[in-house]
Amino acid sequence: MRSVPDRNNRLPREVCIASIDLRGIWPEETVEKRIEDILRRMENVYSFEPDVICLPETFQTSWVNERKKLDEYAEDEEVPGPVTSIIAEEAKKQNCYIVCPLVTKNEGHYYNSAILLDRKGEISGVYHKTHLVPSEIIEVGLTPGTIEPPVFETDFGKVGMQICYDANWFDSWDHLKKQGAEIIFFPSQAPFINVLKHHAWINQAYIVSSTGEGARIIDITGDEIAVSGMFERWVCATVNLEKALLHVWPFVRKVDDIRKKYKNKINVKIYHPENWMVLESRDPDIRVKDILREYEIPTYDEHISMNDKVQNEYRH
Amino acid sequence: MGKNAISRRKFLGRTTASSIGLGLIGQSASVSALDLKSARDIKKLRREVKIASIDMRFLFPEKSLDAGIKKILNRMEKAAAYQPDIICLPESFSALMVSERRPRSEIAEDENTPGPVTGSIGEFAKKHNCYVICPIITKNEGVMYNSAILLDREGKISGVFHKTRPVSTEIREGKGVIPGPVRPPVFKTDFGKIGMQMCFDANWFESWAYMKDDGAEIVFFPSQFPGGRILNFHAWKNNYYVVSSTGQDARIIDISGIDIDSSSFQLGYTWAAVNLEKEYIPTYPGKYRIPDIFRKYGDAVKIKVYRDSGGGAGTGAGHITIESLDPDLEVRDILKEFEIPIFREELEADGRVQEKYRL
Repeated sequence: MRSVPDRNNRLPREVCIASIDLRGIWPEETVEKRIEDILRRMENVYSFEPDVICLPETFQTSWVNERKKLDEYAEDEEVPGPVTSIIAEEAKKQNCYIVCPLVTKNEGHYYNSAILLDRKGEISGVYHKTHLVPSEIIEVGLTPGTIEPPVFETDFGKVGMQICYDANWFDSWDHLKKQGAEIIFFPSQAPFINVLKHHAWINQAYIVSSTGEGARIIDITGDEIAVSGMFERWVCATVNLEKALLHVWPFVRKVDDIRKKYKNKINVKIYHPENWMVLESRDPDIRVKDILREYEIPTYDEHISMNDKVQNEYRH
Repeated sequence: MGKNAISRRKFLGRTTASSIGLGLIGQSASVSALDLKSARDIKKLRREVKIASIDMRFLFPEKSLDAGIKKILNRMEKAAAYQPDIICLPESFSALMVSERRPRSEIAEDENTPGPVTGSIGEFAKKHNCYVICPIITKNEGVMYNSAILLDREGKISGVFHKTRPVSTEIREGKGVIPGPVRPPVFKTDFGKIGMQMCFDANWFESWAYMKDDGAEIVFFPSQFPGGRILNFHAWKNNYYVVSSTGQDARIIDISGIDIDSSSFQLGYTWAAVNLEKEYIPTYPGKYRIPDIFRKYGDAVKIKVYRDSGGGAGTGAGHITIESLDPDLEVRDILKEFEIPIFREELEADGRVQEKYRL
């Protein structure tokens, strides 16, 4: 694991993200044992002073042999239940956000959810899994969430969530993108490795997975930043939200001038096969959008949108 | 694919050069093509397609169009030794490999009557009894397009694709090329249905999806830029093969989104046999049925799981591909027998259930 700067030395839009892998602690006999193991695993990342920690989908019940009725383990979405409270205590102690996935109940309906706990340990948002597997609906009795899922404001940026089977669809991810999600958390059972990498570049968002087999932090380009394994069942890395994906042509012509002016205050990385480039600010006082404006470079989406407009105008 | 086409291809794969062969094939192949076809007597799969694709590395700059064509034909001849059913060439190869730039209106060729480039490449297609994707600027009723012409095994024009998403600098306020339809045509060949997308088209999704809806089994991607992971995505998303032929590389990508093969610095072309008798299926119930399928069909089937673990080679979703290696066995029949859905069809069905219960 590469070194992570402490909170006081991070760039203004640098976020330290941790994520927990469930592998190695399943199957388990009791919910109590599972919670203990998750808490122990979370302790590994505290020294990094993470801004946010992501936990796996329905971690209290996934591959746990102890069976309870839905109503016994579903927790309220406003008043913290037993598991939410335990995790909220950690959020408060560590002064970080936690994505806490569990089954919730709301007005007589049950959801496969991810609760966002803020730095005070309070519930600041709830995501309902959009694309449930039919057996979750018909056999378990869960209700699917809206295909227009909410994004949540945090003190480091806008975040969204998707859970497991959601990976096979695009509508809900697209909605998150349109709402400005910069990081999408992905608690899951299956890891969906390459699928997530595609969602990352399509939505130009960091993706943080926490699954039954692996935890990952994926760059806005789809590159893997960090992945867990058998020696460390967790990941932790800082990501910089002051970063933009751009189309390379013809804007690459301006890169030399940008580098000459901003030197090591910026990073430019070219992705040759995809014709992308990524511009990142490494200086607290320099915003990427100001550089783009200065050099008249559109974002990737603006470039595609402009071309789309021209194509539609001239298509017969 | 029609039965005649299957039997013809099987015949080509099995027979030796003879006057009977020539008579059966009619005008479609020369003796030298038959010699090539009979070089190996190996039984082909029922829906196996041999694909070759050319990249443009070291093919440019050339001073004249004739020299350029000669150079690419030379590379195509090497690829033809593989006896491909189809060869893909890079976007606008004839214009871009020649240093002396001429206006598009001068180099644009007719879409019905073969011009200098389509004529030369057409002769090659006929000689080698293969299809060729020949990307070139075309003109039709006074309008220019950045096109890919499909030449059939007789070297005749059997279809034209117009680049859906030209860059605004190609359109040049209507004085350059005009964008093709967002729902591009798919073309029937004697091995299956194919579609095309070009270069900048990679940045949009809808045309790729339309081609899947319209039955494309292979999508060819002549381009100047390689496309990288974007192409792997389109292949996975639509579960068809994607074949690129670009300024810098040529690749053949599986229906799972994983690269099958690619060209190299040393060898500016790639080739692979792909099996169209292959489907992408969901983990559930797929994984439970695998032992029974192997018990019944043994080596007649090939099953691959894109595993949950590993360093990125798999989708990580546990999805599965299953293909028939028996000329008499259709993969859809196996799936029906074992009550396994096609992945994308399963998602549609699941989406309907979600919609029904969503508040």
